Amino acid sequence: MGDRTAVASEVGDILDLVPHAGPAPERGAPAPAASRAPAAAPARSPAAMAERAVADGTAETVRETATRLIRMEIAPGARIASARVFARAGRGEEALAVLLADPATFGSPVAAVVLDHVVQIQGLPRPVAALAWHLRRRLREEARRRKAAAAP
Amino acid sequence: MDYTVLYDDDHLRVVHRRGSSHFTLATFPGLGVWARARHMWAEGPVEKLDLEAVGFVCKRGNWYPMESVERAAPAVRRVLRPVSVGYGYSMGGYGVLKHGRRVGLSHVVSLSPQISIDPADVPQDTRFHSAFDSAKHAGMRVVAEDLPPWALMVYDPAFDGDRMQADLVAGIPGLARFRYPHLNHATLGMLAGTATLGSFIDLVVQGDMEAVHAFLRAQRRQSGHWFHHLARANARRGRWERADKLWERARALGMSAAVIRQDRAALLQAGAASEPPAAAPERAARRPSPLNARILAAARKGEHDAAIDAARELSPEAAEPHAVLAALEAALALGADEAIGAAARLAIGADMPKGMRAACALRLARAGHGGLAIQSLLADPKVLEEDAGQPAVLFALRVIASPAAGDAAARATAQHLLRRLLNAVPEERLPSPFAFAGGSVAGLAVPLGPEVVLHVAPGVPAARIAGVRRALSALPSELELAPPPRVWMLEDVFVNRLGQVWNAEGGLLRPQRLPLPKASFAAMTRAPMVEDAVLAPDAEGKARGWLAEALPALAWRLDGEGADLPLVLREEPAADVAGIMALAAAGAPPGLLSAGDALRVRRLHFGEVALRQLGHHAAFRGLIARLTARTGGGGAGGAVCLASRAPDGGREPPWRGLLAEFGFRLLLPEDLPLATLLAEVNSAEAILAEPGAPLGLLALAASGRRVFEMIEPSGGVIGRLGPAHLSRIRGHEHHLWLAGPDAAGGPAIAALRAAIGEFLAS
Repeated sequence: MGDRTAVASEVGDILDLVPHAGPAPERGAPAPAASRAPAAAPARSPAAMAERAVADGTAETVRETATRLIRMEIAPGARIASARVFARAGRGEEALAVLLADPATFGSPVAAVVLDHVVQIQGLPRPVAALAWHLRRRLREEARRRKAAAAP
Repeated sequence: MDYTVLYDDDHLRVVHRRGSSHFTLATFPGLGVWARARHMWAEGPVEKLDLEAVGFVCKRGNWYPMESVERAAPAVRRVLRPVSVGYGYSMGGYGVLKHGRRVGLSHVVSLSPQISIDPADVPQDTRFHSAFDSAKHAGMRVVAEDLPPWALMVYDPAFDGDRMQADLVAGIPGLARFRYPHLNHATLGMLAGTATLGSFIDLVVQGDMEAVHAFLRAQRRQSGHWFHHLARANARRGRWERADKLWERARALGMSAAVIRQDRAALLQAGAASEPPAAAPERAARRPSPLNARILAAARKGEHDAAIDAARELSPEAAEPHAVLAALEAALALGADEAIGAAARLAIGADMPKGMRAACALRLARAGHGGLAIQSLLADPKVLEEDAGQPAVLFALRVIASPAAGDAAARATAQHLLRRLLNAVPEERLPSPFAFAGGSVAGLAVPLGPEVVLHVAPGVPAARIAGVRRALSALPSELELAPPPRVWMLEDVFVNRLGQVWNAEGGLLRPQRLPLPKASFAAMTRAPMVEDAVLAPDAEGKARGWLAEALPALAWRLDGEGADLPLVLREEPAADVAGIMALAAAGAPPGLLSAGDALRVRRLHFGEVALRQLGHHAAFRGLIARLTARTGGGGAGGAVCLASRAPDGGREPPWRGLLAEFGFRLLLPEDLPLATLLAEVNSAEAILAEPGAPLGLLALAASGRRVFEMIEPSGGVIGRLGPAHLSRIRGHEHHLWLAGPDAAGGPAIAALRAAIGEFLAS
């Protein structure tokens, strides 16, 4: 028997891994302080957030923004656009991290537009470069296969 | 039908059962199975088929000592019918081969036998060396003269230990062989079941070796056990899709779903393709390219540098999955970052089945290389496709998402990818109108049981001992903070047979580690609906865990709260669950509802009980009292040993010899009904628990049990102190044996002997 005895509920299992999520408190309980805080500044588009981080120029800002984008629920197109901003700015690791965090973008043929930029970045760690190159290769192969299958 | 004792001494008992068959069946049990029977091994089929039978029962792991068997032989010969079939497994396989002619058998069938356990005969098969006694076992090796006229040996030639044994009798005339690959030591399961064993014995009695072989071959198509082991073999090699298909077949052929779930989970935990790649028999047929072969050969010999050198020369496109995994393991064994990076690049570039890719990622993540792990895993978009290999990928992602994987960025990516894949959403739980007995009084005033007594094996690091002591002493303050257990409620949710709970938007509140199946999604619109139901907690598919881990959470319902509420089970209602409910319920047992693909529940109630909350005795008092009263008298008392699950190959734990010395009766929890197990625990004067034994039972046992728990040296000990804490909370006396690095060594066994002696004398 582990630390928790009963209810092998997994409500915590996945969500516990996610820092900002987790089982919600009892319904009707007072909202946590953060959600009662005054409204934040007007929301920026994900791509604009990425551009601003890149323009700031510090590695820390870029990493923090990438982490925020990983967590945010954004449309696939917006995710790919923000990843492309990082890739074009030479931030391949962050571009891939943002791209791969959502099944809707990782594995999408459109992801190739980000990977095209990543593979051209000089000085990337070799496994990161290998990931971008092979992922792009496989996406292209899959696209070709689908095209061939769809052909009359 | 009565059994007559033909012979009895300190080592051996032989019993005789009169039956209507024209032949006698003589059974010789193996080490792990001798203690299960009331009178003799295989008495179930013997009684159902009304066979004339003789049962040889070794009283301990003594490999049927010659002296005892010779003394018993005259009495046995007197009752044997002219045709008499010996049937033995493992140690019993030895017994039947060695003594078959001596006791007058005409035919013998020996399953996975030892031919000798003398280290001089089998220096490399060390499984049973510790049981060898030169005085009792002089000349123990089976020779041609021992064999009766008709003899058959069944074994797995790919299982090293049994193959070495079989090699000892290679060339002996008159001993036929039948080979069952993939089964390791578990050949016995191929003849499980009364009808199967009966048909088999009938053919043996006829002496038609060809027909016997044909029968054993045909068993491969008809036995769930066979498909189960075939699935295990495939899973070990990372072929999860094939493994899952084989498990489906095994289930269709009657293999226990719980066993399959448990084994599958264990293999998943161990990591796919954990078997050394070179051991795969298929490799012989599919010859690897020279560089791949070099990697495999070097890895097999433990030459890690050479394996990595070859891996550096190999292009990813030419790399074969097993070679990639071997290179990765070699690199991780070396621990050099550059080598690990090179192997990871190979994994990223090589085209591999997703199970193998997940296995590579798991290895990396567990070694703290989370970044490389996620790169290896996500290098192929196919890993996210929904198919039978998906659980392995999800499991790898979970490990990468855990702190152990190290890399913060990789963790974040894995966490959020996992959440999105599963569509996991937070629960919005409400307080249920039902409650545990004792109300919601915070704080505790329960006296704890005596402090846990720690026994330490030689060689355990001082830091680990100190850590365990600290963790053990932390309990009282944790208990004081424990809130009373509560009953909660989810409104308007769906449940399915996997135990998943989701909302009307498809958001998974309880994913059970899997995405919502398409069938469940499709079934939502036509799902049957109930107004109120109780969610039966799941214990990860562990049958024994159900009693201990799920029942406390249902205590409120079983006490009579919500008397009309049915219980929703994740799988089809199992007979033993119904039995447990009947034992545990104050009134009529709750009805059991099968969730199917989707069951809509307006109000789904569930209790939650953490270990430390078990200290709120009032909440569980009624349940425990009913269980104790209703299982009373079912145990045989005395000192019992709760065995751990038999490892692959039937390797006996090194301490088993001590059990007989101290008079412990071996119980195999997996083979006992839960009520029987609880009755045994409640009636036992002393309980010795091997590592992994289901000590969660202590939660529901009557207070005052005396427990000696063994903890293996590997892994994090601190997290496994649950049973020790549980004992204190429930008022049991608990001794903890902290095993050292050399559990089989003489000093360790001597120290264990002293510790058990101290426990029994306390």
